[in-house]
Amino acid sequence: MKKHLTYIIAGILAFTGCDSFLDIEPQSILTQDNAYNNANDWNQNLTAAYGSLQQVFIGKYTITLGEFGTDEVEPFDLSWAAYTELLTYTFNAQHAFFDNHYRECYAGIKRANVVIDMPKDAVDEADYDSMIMQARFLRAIFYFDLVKMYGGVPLWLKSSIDRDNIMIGRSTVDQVYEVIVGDMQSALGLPESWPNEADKGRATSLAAKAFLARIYLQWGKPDKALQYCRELEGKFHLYDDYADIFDPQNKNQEYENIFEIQTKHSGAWGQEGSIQHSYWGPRNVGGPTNFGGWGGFGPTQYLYDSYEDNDKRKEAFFFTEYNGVPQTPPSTRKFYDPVYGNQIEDDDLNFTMIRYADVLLMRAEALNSIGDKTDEKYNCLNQVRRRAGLDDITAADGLTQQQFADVLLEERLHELNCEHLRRWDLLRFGKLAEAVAAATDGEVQIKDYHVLYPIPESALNANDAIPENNPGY
Amino acid sequence: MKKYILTLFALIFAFSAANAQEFTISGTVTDTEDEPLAGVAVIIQETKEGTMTDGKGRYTIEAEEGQTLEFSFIGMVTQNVTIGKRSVIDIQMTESAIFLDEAVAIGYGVAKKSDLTGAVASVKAEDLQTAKIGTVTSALQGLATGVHVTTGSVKPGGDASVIIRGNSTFKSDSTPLYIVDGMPVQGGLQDLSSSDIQSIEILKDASSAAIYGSRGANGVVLITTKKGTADKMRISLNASYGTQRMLNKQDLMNAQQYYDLVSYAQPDDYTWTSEELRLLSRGESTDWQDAITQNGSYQNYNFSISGGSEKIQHYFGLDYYDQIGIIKNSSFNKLTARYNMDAKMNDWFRYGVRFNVIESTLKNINEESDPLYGTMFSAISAQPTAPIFTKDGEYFDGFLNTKANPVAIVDLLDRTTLKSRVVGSFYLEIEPIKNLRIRSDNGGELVFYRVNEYEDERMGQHYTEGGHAKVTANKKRYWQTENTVTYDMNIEDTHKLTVMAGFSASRTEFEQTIADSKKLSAILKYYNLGGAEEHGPNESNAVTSSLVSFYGRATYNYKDRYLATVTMRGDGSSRFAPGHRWGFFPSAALAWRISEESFVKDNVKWISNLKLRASAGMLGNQEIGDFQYAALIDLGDPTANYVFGNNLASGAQQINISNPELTWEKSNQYDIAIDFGFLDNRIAGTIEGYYKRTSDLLWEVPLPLESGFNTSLTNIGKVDNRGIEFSISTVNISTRDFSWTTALNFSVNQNEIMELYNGKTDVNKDLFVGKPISDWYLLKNLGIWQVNEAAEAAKYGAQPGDRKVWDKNGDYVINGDDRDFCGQSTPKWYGSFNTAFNFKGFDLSAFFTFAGGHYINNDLRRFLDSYNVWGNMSENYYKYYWREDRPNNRYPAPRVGSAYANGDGTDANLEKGDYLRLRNLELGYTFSKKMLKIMNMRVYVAVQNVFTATEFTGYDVESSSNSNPYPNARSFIGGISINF
Repeated sequence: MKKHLTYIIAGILAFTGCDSFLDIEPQSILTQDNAYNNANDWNQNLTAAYGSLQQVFIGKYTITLGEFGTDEVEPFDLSWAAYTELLTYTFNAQHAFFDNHYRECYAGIKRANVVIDMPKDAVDEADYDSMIMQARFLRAIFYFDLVKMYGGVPLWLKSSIDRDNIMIGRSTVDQVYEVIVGDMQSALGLPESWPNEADKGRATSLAAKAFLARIYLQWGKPDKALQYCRELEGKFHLYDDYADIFDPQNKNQEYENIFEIQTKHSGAWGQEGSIQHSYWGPRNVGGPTNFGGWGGFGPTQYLYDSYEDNDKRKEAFFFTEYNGVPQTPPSTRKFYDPVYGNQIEDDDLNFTMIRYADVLLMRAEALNSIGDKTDEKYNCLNQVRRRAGLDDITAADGLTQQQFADVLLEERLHELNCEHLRRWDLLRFGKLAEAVAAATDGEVQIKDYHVLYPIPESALNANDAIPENNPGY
Repeated sequence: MKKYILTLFALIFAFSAANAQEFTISGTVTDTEDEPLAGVAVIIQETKEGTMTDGKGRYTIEAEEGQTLEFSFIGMVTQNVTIGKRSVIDIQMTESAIFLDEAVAIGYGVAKKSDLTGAVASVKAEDLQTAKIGTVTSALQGLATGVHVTTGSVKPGGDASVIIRGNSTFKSDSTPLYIVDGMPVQGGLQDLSSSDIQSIEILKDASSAAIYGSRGANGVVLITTKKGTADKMRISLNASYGTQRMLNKQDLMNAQQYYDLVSYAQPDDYTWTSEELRLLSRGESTDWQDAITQNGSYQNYNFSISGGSEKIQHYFGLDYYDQIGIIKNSSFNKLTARYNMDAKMNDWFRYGVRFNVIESTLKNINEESDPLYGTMFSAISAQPTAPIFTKDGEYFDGFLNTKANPVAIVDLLDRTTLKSRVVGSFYLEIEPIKNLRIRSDNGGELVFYRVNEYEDERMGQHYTEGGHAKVTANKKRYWQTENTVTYDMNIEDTHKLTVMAGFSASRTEFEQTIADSKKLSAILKYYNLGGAEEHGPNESNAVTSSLVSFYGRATYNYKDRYLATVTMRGDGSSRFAPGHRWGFFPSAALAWRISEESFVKDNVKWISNLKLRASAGMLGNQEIGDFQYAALIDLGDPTANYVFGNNLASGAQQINISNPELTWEKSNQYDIAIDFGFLDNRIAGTIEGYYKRTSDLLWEVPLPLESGFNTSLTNIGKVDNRGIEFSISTVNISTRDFSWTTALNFSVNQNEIMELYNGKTDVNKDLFVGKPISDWYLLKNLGIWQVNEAAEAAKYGAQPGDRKVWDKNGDYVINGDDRDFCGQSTPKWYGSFNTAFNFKGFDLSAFFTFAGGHYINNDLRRFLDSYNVWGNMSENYYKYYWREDRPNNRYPAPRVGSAYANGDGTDANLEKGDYLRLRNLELGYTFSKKMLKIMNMRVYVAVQNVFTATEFTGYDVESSSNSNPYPNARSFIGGISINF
């Protein structure tokens, strides 16, 4: 008996002692060894790159960055210092929103790079080209947002990481734009429209053209922009009713809206629903209840007052009163979900990144910039004005090039406000400081260096190859 | 009985008649709990003649009047009684302040307390009985130096946090390792019944904890449960009941005050609902705190039976605990059963079993995980103008702040956590040759955990129409085998050597499933998710880990004077990359029992124990999560998912880069201490100093953001903890029927970050070299801008009445660069004080705890002490907010858009955390066996949280920053305990 037990104990010792006992594979998460086996695996990586669109453009923080500190939108939750700082240009490089935006953009780029670098034989040939074009389309969008915000940024174009060579310095603005344009042009090989309903929401060649117009315009190359605007002629139209542009029922009709960031009411926040209604919704109607918003931010009174009274958009785009509660300043109707808006941060609103009205106005802008003397620019502008019930502007009005530019900028404000474009428009037209001063009665005076946001402090801290921030920060 | 008493009286009369004659004295010797003491030496000092008490504690001796009887017993304070005329002298003996011969668990063995070389704190079972409400972990509060326990609420099912000798990690877990009868227990001791516990030992220093190697860096708590005693059958019954009253209800504005303030601050901007106006017109107000709270209660019943023969001993315990919370609809109940058996088959073979089954049900509707929606937060911030019910009898649902009517939450939310746990182990021990013991201890654990949730649609418009049910179910399976060989050697009582070597292996498997469904039957709820109209998101996950270890310990004792211990453990953990899995953790300790040296023993009589000890060693912390070393690709995270064609598509993304070098956090600890006992150990205590340097600290080191990865878990940096611990216990008075004891312990800990990575002096202004881990780094609040400062205020875009913030760098911009250090959030010192009296059958004890030197961010104040457009505010704010006609420096004016008004990012809401609390006051009376023949019985009443002296204004000074706390309560308790 005594002997047997000794053997048993010795046996237990020997049995469990081997090191293979410690070899345990993850069960709920993939590793590099098993994550990229088939076409579906790669497609899921592409999906993740698309997923970054939601984070970069309609995330809780990023949603504010093209809007605050302009003349069209102001925060109402002023007790939140992060909001106030953007409004009054007292932010510095530690501001959490820049950090979040910068990270999310590069996360999107990382996800796109994985697809762009995938092995040739990973998926069949047709899919391979299409997937890489989509990934490059997305990468262009993310780099475009970075270059607009921060100027020249480091270019990460590979998916592999070399730990010893991980610090990469900033490229110039032009170098970044070259990459953006190259990526976006490669996406011209995509279909104009995806034939299967299940693919709606993916990048199209028409969306690539619209973005190329926007990119070239912002880069200061209106002639190139004009070419892409013209190529979209007849591909899209203007809805008669403004409500149709933003109605969740009209998702992906490809009628006026050219590229939409997709969302879907999910039954719980933090999923695929959008947060837009909760932040933009009418205020003081019971917090985030009764289809109201948090009261986070909304249009300025300055914006509302700048409309002619006969402009249809003055009614179509604003609530001056909601359920008996006056909205002062008026809140926007553009992000209003009548079905799911009362679900906290889980509405069903797609975000339209680019639509045909914008293309028309960009075309007019490009024509004006290159000094075109034909009626083409008036025709483009007037298509937008007519829908608003406004009178045409024609050559007979005798506007100078600068006056026409001023009219255009005003028209863009009235048509495209709250669609995350204002800051870039004002910068392009060189009017940011002027507009901010005008909207705040001179209370907020911005400095020259504010045309760029600071590179986030966290990025500087983590990358020795970026020795200093943008001037002024 | 009656006859016996009569006989005694007769004897007393008989003997008192005789004068200064030798006569027979008899009596019973018991301890303070009325248990008879056998083997007590009873000696007539004048003649040195004596006797001993028998098995029932009785003695008889012949003595003369005027002589002195000395009663002495190991571990008890010696008593002298002068003989008068009485012939019956019953003695109640009091335990010494320290019992040096006590056997103390040290992990894979026991040692005599006098032989210890490391820092091992022992907590006795009876001390745990003081805290009747809550868990065993919370009962540890104040019972040992260097062990900081915080509770802060009486939440049903809530547990305390324990930090031993300071926080020495940035990221990984800082809770100690809990071992119950050799089995590690995750997540605290809430499943244990305190009445099953024999003793708790806390291994604090490297020498004592090194036997647990890679899991020992945060200290080790060893729990030993009760065993049966041969030939001594014992049955115990305990019952207690208590009622709880909520403490520190916040003083908030009533409806009229609220209406007044809002009308003043936002005259045009606020629309009162007709329901609110109806309530106002009647002069009513809703007190939401009252509406969702109630008097709590608890009851606890406990039964145990133990006993056995020389061959086999049993212990069986059954415990039922039931608590109704002070927030409505929160409750906890738990049933535990334990069976312990030890058997001896013959001279060389022993075996035994430890078996424990626990079932618990927790209802917790407080939603702490969601601090801005929790029940308590909802109640605090709901506007007092809102009625609970509308005139149609529906729940009012027009709140500014919250998802739901607080009363609707407590009425309708159904969230139940069910846990079933089975833990057991059996051991075999053989002694093939004398003093060589081979032991194999094998155990396992199965835990089934389930959360059933149902949100009724009537809770409000933010809840899913048609209801929402969610079921979380997980299972944990654990097994281990521990095999040791121990050899004791004793050479002529001069050299005593014990050598132990062992091997262990263990494996944990965890699986979880979460099912989520909407629009379903309100009757079947979570029991029929299949019947729902909408399904998902559903989740599942699983993870496995394993640990293999070799360890050994040698202790050497020379003439009970010089003691040495050497310990070594090697751990192999699956949590690290192949090739980096093994870690080795050595330690050594020396002790010198000065009191055993003849120059003390013979000359200094008042020194009964004096020991100097020192130890050094290294410990590890492997609680870093699993697979952190590998590059992982995550599937289906909402931030990576997208929607195509209005259908959800799963996204996959790499979430980290690999770091095969990842290794343990290592902590090098040095400890030096003096244990003392004076005057027959009536005064005993320890002074101890330690220095602990933790290196290879794990930290998420930022990667260049452009990589698309945020951080990489890397070993960086060093943290120091230094501290002094002092404890003293005294038996102030110990006479035949009165005793008074006191105990004080006091700990000081200083925490300092010594090094970060790449020569950095701070990480994101969050961790700073030269500062404690928990330091606050905030803007400094300077009060309120006054009217005469309007011009200066305008430079900051502020107006009189706004909060004034220190512009540290004087650039007229308030931003992150103006922050400064504002004190630490963890106490610099803490301790406890206990005093107990025994008089005849009565006992009275008072137990105080205290802590201080730290600051707590009172999150509630950000909502209550500035103008809050989302809900109610404090009454003080209403009374004292800044107005031109009543300027002050405390409360900003109620101006929407006033920067920093709520104090976020500043130190405005920091409050001193110093406190002194009378945690327990207890009075009991014991009916002795003499009175009740077959049993003794103790009845008691106790009050917990009698008072707290503190400047903190939130719900409880022990709770950490939280805007949705579970309030603390004062408890009134009564109980009875019976021993047969």
